[in-house]
Amino acid sequence: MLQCTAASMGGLLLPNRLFAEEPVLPQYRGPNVIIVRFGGGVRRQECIANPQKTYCPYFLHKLVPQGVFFPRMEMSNSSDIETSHGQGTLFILTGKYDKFEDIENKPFSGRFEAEVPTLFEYLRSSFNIPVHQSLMINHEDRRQEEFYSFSNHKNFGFNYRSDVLSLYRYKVFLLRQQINSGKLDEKQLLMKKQQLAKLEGLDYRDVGGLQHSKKIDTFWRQWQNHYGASGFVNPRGDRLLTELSVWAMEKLQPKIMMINYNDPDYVHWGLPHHYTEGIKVIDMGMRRLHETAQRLPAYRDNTVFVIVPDCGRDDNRFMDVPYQHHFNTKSAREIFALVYGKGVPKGKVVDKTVDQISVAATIGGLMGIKTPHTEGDALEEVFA
Amino acid sequence: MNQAATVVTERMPTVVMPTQEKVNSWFYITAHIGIFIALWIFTQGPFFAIIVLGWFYAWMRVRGLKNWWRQLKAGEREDADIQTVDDLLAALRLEKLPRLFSRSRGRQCDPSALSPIRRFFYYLCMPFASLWFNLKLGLQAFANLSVLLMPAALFWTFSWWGGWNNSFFKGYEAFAVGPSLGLSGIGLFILAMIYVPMAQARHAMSGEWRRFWDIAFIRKILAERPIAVLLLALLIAVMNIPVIIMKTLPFQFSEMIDGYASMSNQEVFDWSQGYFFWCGLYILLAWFVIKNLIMRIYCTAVLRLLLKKQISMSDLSQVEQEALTAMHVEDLEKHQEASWKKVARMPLRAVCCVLIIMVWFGFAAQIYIAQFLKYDGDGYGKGWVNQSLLQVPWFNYTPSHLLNDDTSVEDDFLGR
Repeated sequence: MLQCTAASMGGLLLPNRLFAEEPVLPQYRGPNVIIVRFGGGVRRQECIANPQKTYCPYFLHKLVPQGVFFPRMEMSNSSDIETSHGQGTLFILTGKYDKFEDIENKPFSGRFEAEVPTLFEYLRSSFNIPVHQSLMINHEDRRQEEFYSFSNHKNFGFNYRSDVLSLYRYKVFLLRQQINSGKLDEKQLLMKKQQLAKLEGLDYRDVGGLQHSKKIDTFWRQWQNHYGASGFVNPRGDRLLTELSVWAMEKLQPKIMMINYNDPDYVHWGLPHHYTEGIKVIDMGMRRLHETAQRLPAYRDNTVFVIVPDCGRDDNRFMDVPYQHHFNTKSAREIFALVYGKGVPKGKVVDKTVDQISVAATIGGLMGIKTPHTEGDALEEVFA
Repeated sequence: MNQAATVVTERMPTVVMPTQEKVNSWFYITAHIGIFIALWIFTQGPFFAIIVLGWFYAWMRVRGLKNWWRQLKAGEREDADIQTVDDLLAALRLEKLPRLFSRSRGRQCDPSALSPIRRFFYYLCMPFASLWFNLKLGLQAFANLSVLLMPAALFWTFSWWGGWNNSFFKGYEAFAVGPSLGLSGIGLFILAMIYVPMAQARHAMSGEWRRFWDIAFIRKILAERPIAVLLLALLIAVMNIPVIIMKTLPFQFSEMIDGYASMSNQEVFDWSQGYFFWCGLYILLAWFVIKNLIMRIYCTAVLRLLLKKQISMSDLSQVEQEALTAMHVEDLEKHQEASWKKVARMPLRAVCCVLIIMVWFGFAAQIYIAQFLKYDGDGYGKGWVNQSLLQVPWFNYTPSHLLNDDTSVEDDFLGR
């Protein structure tokens, strides 16, 4: 009786698929996909509008000619759609516009939960891909985005999530290591456990408390051996994301990886060089990712890159810094996208307005996965 | 007393406008409107705004004297040598409405007594003498204010710049530099603003920049009227809210203005200039309200301190002494302080001090919020270094980049 009740309760809380007989999923044989979120918010003016004055010359001059370029991608101009990083990221991952609100109604928090599946869930529910090969690389200043790795959809959810590599996860690893080392006194142990509990409890949906797979643990151990535990030696900001991504490609070989660059968003504080420097850092990061993909056998000639901003930025000449914010203006909705790699035609420029939510369906098509809950149409120009 | 009155009357200018001359009322009204419009226009540029600052100090002195005239009921004395406040002002070589441009009557003399060259320059400078006087007074005021307020402003500028640079480049060994500079700046600002308003009143009333630094005297003023000083701070903080709104509202203009996308840089520039011009009207009106209140608080405090003999006439400037003597301050009825006030004096001052600190902290928070919503830097931290209601009444944040063309950045690089 008790077991029936528990099973029923579990059935209410956990995805249905957990209780059905697990189908044997086929191995994934499609191309690796690397999604570069050219974030946090960049304008066409500084990136693609003027080839002589671009702040991302490698992207514009070297990568764009290798694929299909959409210089007029836009976010919906509906007043319900906010032009910001969390929202843009979820639009890219889910292929659906939605009005997201912080789950605790905190202002400026951005702790959103998608109601429809993300690309990670579509992929892992279709193919036998271990969690460590479906990755999101997250920025240290965007802790709220740790939770974009899975949705609340009843047929998908936690079991089909991606794993996340970030400084936040590294801290969790370090804390566990310190607690398990047996070298702490009682007071220190208590303090560390409290710190760890706080980090592990950040997502109430993750009942396992951010448990890492063995592969991820090994990854962090290698990282620690190389960079130490102070946080002062490893690269930081978006350079860290590039470093984590390259390491992931070498050691974990993810089939799908999303890199959430964000440094340009520092221009919110009013210093213009943070914006332009941020774009340059991302550009150099994309170069390194591209060269790594060329170098590694698992990725060479078997990878598709999808590069798309999460949102644009304002273009307000009444301000000292016209692009300081991205407050739902027309310019903040204007972005672009590039798809290049295996099977994608080269040197094509699609000079028509396309939607940001088309990215998910397009990636689905490239990877051979069904994306029934996306609303955007796949970008047909990408398919040869 | 009579001797004092004699001293005052003996100082009346021998030429110039007789004290009883009736001024044409239309001319008077026109002069008021003209000066107001000129002051309003002057709020749009930093140099001219300093002239406005100087003019306001002259105006504050007149307000202060009128305040004393009213409190001392000097006009009700039948035996007084000076019957009206206009007479008093004339006796002190002041005018009811300080002049902005031309030489004031109090500074006029008999040109025939001058040598030819001096007479030439006297007439040459006649249309602009007050402009120079206001500029001089404004520069003195600006210098005094800058000594106290500029360190805080510079701390803010560098804390914001350095702190966010540190955050961006992740130099976390030095992460404390930004926040500590910022907090230090806020602390300096609060300390300065407890002192500045009454010090400004002292400078304005005396006409002597050194009197701004009578720290012991200002302390007594603050101690005498803590509630009034608190209410003044609150008023300034509340009146600054529309200033912050006006300063930051342009961050919405690209969406609010029809046809913005097709506007040229020159059109945007012109639009912005027009916007800040109209905002200058509020700044100017706020200055009249705030400076008037500052003088009322100062003047009442001085009278009370004189009565209590906590200060003497020798602590005051010559103008103040002459004015108070002419107004028979010695006849002022002793102010009967309520007994509860005597007992509650110390705790009241302590509570007011804490509240004043909180109010000025709130004011500083407004500055930070405004800079986040719309950062005004222009290379030197424009949004930090001048607060329009406190320092110089300059209010124009039109971005300078609108006047630059695209080649300017490349020229900068080539020129380095």
